[in-house]
Amino acid sequence: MPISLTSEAAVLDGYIDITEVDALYPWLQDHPETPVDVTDCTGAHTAVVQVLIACGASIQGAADTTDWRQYLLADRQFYAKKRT
Amino acid sequence: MNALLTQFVAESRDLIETASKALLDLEQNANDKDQIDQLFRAVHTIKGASGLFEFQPLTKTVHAGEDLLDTIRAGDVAFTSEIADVLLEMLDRCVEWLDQVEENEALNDNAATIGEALSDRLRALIDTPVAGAALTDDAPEAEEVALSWPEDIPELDVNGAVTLVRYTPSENAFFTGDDPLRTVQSTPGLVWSRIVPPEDWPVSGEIDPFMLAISFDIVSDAPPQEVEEHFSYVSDEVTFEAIAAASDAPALDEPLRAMASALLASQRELLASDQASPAEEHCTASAGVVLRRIARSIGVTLTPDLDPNNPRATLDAWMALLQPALIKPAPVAAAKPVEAAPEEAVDDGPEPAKQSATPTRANSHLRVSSERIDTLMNLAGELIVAKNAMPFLAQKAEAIDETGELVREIKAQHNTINRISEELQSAIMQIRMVPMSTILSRFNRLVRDMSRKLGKEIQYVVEGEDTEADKAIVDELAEPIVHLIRNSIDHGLEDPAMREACGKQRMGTIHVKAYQHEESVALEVIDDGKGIDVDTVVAKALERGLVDQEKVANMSHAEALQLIFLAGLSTKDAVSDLSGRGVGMDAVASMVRRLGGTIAISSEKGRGTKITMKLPLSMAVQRLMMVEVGDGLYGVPIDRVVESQKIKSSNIRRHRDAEMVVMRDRLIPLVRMRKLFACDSSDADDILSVMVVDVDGRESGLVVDKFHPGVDAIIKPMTGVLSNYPCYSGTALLGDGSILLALNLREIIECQYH
Repeated sequence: MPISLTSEAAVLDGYIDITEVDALYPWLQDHPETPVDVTDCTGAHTAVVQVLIACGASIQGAADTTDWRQYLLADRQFYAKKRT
Repeated sequence: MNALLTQFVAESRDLIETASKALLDLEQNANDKDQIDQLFRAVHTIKGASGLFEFQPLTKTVHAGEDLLDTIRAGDVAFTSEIADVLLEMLDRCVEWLDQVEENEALNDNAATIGEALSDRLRALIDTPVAGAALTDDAPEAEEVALSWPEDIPELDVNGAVTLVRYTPSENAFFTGDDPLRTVQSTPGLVWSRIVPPEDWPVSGEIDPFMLAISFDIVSDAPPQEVEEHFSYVSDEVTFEAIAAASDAPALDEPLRAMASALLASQRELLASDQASPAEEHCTASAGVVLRRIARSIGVTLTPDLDPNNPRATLDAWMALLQPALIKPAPVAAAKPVEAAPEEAVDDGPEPAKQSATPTRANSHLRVSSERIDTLMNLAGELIVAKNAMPFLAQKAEAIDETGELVREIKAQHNTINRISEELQSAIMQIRMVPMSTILSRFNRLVRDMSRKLGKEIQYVVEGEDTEADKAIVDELAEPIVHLIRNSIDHGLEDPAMREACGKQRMGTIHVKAYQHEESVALEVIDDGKGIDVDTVVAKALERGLVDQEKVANMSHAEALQLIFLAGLSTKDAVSDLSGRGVGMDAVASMVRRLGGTIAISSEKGRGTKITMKLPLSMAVQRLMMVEVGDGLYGVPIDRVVESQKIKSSNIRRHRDAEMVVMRDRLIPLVRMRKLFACDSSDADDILSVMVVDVDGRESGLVVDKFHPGVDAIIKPMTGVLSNYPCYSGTALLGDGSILLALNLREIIECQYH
């Protein structure tokens, strides 16, 4: 199960497809303050990213990353600093 | 319109004027290097200034013109009249665009197409292959590449040119199976990207999660073709922009370096000043932007990144980083930028010289809108009227003040205020004085265009262009002069062949002469054409029923010539599109008379025509002689008054209805003002008060009840019902609050005779 939604947290694991939005969006509305953990999330569909940003989800596990998960943080930009 | 834009429009107009003049002079002497330089400088400055605003078509067109002039200046292309035509067209277009800018603060939609076509034509004239290639192809392209770094994109550590992609996928993208984020992340050479949220996110409960609302900004350092290919499936949803990386920024020259130093110093000052917290936030934000820009233009990378918690510390670190970079390469020049500039400028080209000269010039001249001066003028006028109340006050005081001390005091004060208000008025008048050259130089162009159109060779000579007159008068004069010049070219001057046949030079001359004559400014338009055929004028006037046979029979040559000022008389048979719409001379005459001026014509068949206009130097305050008729006071402009006399009624000579009197060997017809104004005829006075006035060179004597002293007054035109009474030229307010009617002498004399 790539997505687990509980009253304590939402945990995203692996690649999250657009179909998961059906479950994720109502959960985000019901749990506006509950953390969303993306530590083990390898990728997500645009719709998933959009709904996370739109609902202002409180993201966990993105701060230390240097990949697409930067989009989920406040300034929503991604910079490939060291490209070879 | 903001102040900068207003200034741009005003200055550009002046520059266009300068450029036109230089162009026309160049046509006379194509090798005049000074004129080429002047022309180039003017066009160059317009181009530079227009770059400050979003007027692409204007900038582009003028840029093309500048390139063309540059090749002419370098001697690669010879100056021809074809080039002059296109350049003049460019200037005309610029004037049109400036009008649009002034009206709407933007150019009309068609400006881009027009500008494009015009630039192409200008560039086509740069036909020397070497110079042409360098200027036409490379220059604009280089400009495109050099697009500056967009403000909304953060500084990135990249080398060389990069591509900025703005990707706004369709809101239905998910339904077609698209995953835009995947497209973004797989962009070749992806350096940086971000998600741009929509401006109006719906509130949390109302979001449709399957409608795409976000868009993307992407920076890639891959070759542009590769990037474009990557987005080829969504080509209508992306825009590409080539942006210059910081390291590509051109090396700074000295003045810029000095400017950057000054900017840096000002930011330091800004940050040092203690501000309340919201203001402080703005200050640091704006300082941050400025520092980033400085860094970009001098090719310095700013580290560390801005710390949102302590922006001050970051900014201080940035400044420390920038300071050495600014003073290191040219310490001397940076310290004394202004003094260093002019010396280089002489060899280097005209522009830096202009920059360094600007500050001193700006100090000695002030650009003030004419409305403000008008307000000042009106106030000074009011003051003069208010001052006129003091003699009335003195009269009143006389009645109650037995010692006469108060009266003396009031009179003394009146004299002081009188002196000051007169000085004030003349000082303001001086401000409003402009040389006639401001309009006369314009007609160069008119003469040139018309002579080409009609195939005539014409030389335009201006004399006395330094003669000054009130701006309002000078502006109003432009239209009559246009008519007169057109008339002279169209009706007066002959074809070159015909001129030769008459034994004249092929080239005709239009001579415009301005000079000051007593309290008025005189303007003569003289041509050496075929002159006016008085018989034709008379025949036309008879044909149109403007005058009757009996009257014509008694007319002198000069009087018959005046018929040309009658409405609806045009002597050229075919109505041309240049003049001769039958509104020619009468329109001129009425315009001049409306301004309180006079117009006279003299012409000799085969030799030419001379038209002389005389206008008051100013339209503001006028000195009027007051006369009393019935119980009313009337004003007569003092420059029309020849003399005032008391005569015995026995001296009046009568011929049928007409009364006249001999004064100093002149026979002067009398106008009984009481009769004209339908007052009761006064008791047959033995002694009559006669004011002799001069109207168009003819003297008439107005019989009035009483003479009064002169008065300074501002004559306001009649409005409403009163404007139907042409025998008054306006009204003026007197110091005691009563109204004075100013007489329109021409109408009064006409009434007498008809």
